Amino acid sequence: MYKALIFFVGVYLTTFTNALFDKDSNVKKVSNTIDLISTFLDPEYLTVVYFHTNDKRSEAMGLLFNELAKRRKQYYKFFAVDCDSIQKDVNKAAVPACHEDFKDALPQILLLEPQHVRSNVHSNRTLEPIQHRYEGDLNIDEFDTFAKKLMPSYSERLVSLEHLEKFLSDQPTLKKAIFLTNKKSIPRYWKALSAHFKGRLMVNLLFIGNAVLSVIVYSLGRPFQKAI
Amino acid sequence: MTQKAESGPGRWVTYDGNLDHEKLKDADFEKLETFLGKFASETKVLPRMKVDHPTEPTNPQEGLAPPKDLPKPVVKDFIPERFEEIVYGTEGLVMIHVYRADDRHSSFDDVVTKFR
Repeated sequence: MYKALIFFVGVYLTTFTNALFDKDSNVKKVSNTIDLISTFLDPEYLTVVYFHTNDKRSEAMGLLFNELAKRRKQYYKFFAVDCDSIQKDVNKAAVPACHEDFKDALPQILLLEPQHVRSNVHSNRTLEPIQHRYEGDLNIDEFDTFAKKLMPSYSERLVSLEHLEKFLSDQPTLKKAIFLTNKKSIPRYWKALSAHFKGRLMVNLLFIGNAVLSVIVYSLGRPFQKAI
Repeated sequence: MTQKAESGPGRWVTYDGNLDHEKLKDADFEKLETFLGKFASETKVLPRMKVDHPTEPTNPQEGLAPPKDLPKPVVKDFIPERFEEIVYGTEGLVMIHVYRADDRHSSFDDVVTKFR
């Protein structure tokens, strides 16, 4: 009787977690190490990975994680790793967070910086991504405060007219987008857009003390002074 | 949605949607993303690689050799009671070899013999 009950609870929880991160979710499910390795190779974005099992604690936190992913899908890439499935994988050693010794620490959230950020200076080989364990509450504001400083930005701050001219004349085939701002920090959405358009649109930021927030796009590499 | 400003041969296009990050909603983000997407290239263009052409031939091993004025490594015996004093009180890189019985790694023995 008890065995049957445990079986049904197990099936329910597995089904629940699977349903939680279904195809409409902004969280990509990862259940084997091959998927996981390709997950870590996302070259542009800050990756947020939810390592979980199929228990009630994971289920409750999974709901919040799903909501977070829904609200922040533009800024980060979200993944959920089912450690129960990983344990059955022959390459399970490739996923230390799912190791049996750390099972009590599950569910846990790791933030992985893009791999290209770090490379060996001698061999130029990409190093393992830097991992940050998130231990705060799963509310949007607290998570944003933690994650914002880890977000990669491919938007450079233009500091002089020479710098601006160089930027406009660089890679003539690409159009240039400039964010004019009177604030010194780069907004999170601009960082996210710089990642999204990396290699397809050159995205930079120009600080002008009395500027009105605006975005301008320039389509030909002509000197800035002549274009004004 | 946009104001177009043609100035000489170069062409500027200004976005006039909401950009205040404190009030930015999903729809604003998508609007800006769509706007920028119109100007983005379909394929990724990789930045040009910087290639240095040295005027004099260089020794490929040169960069890997340690500078000559570095202090020589110091070999200290491991005393568990004074672990913190030995390790944390030492400036620079600390290399510790942990071994069982007398089964030491030969390369570590070579280092010890060289610098002791």
